[in-house]
Amino acid sequence: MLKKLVFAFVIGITSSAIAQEEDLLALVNEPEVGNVKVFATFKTTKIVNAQSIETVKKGDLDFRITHRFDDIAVGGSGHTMWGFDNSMDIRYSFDYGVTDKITLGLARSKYNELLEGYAKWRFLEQTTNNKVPVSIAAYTNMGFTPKDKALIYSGVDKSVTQKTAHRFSYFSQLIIARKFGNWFSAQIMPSYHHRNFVKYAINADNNAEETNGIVSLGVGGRIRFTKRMALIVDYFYNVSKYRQNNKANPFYNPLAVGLEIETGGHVFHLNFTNNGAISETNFIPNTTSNWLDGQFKFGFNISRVFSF
Amino acid sequence: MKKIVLLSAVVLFSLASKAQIFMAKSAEISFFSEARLENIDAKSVTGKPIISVKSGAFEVQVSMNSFKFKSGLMGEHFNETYVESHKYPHAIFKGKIKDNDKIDYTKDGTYDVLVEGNMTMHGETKDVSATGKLTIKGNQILVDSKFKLKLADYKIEVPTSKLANIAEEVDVTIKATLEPLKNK
Repeated sequence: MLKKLVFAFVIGITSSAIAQEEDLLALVNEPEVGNVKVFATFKTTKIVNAQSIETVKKGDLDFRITHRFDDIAVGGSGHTMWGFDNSMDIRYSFDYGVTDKITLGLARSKYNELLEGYAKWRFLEQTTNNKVPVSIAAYTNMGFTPKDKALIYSGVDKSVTQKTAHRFSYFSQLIIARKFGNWFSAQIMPSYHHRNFVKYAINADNNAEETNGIVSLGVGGRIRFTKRMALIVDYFYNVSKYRQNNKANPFYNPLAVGLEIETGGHVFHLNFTNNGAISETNFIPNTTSNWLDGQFKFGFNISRVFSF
Repeated sequence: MKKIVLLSAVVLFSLASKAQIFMAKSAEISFFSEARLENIDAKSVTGKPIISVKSGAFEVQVSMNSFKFKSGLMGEHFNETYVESHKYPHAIFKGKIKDNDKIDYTKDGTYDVLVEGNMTMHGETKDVSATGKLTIKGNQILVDSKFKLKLADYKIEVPTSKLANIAEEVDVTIKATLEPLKNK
């Protein structure tokens, strides 16, 4: 018995001595590092065409200027300096971080003279220990076009009642994103777009009519190849029978690739897209140009964040 | 009877030796960078300095991503492009209080101390010495120290375009109140 106790005594001494001399830091119960929220899944609030999972930080204002020029590689495009003489769309936007998770924004586009108000709420955040494997955000956007009536109703039967409500369109989506390691991020975006007013049209090849609502599935990704540069890609697949194999009025799904350059405070995007329009409300239903026909455009985006 | 005496000796001994270790009850580790265009300051309250009274060892570990900045974007840049906290999650300082035997931890008093040791951050380990004040007050040890770190020593690169925003040398401040570590 005594032996055992002496033994325990010795163990007690040595273990406390070890704890004291060699492993002080092991005594600290610091919050587990593995359990932190993943940040910078994407670098800005948009990928190229698509909204990204990112929101603006609380109290910050993200001012964005986006440009799309004209087709680069169609016949005669040399006369417009490969599209640079024309601007298909220009968009200015202001995104404000109400909280770290909620962003409200306003924007104005040249295309359809579109005025937008939108909100994004990132309600789930991926954690580094994978307890939460993805981040999820909800994005919703309301658009209003102040276009001249004659333009909105051109080619429309006179008997159609003209309403202010016809000027509104909506876009909503869920953004599910994951950052894989430090160099690759991806997201998918089930989306729904609704226009209050569409002109009657029919696809002669499958007898499908144009619809007010269009469901689409977007995918996007970012590959960082240096600390400050990344390749960005996004694509929307539109589930619209009217747009499928429409030989008389062909439609294409918007595909965008870009180079992202981050300088700290500023983020620059240099993009190529087949769609001319910048806002979802415009490019989801109206993309009629095809990458394979050389109908892709150069575009750029500048994002500048102001902190208050 | 013998048993009880011995058992209590074991318990008492381990208690006594544990009492030789003080750990921060609350601590604040902050850094400040003063540059032409902007001042950056960030604070962490998760790092808990530890002092071993007997040996004079002073150690502290802090998670890089626990630093809170005035602007969230600054924090993101700090973690992602400067200290790369996904690769190097902690900054660790291990040092010894110089002339520790001259400090009487049993009596109230204030000492100007020099702590010499090394700091590991961003995958680099460098010798660091810091001066500070050590105050013994009742059952507590108060630590207050300020020292400078050169970013280049830790291979934290600042692009030339950012030199107006980020100082090459930052001031680090540690303030902590330590209490004897209780047996767990």
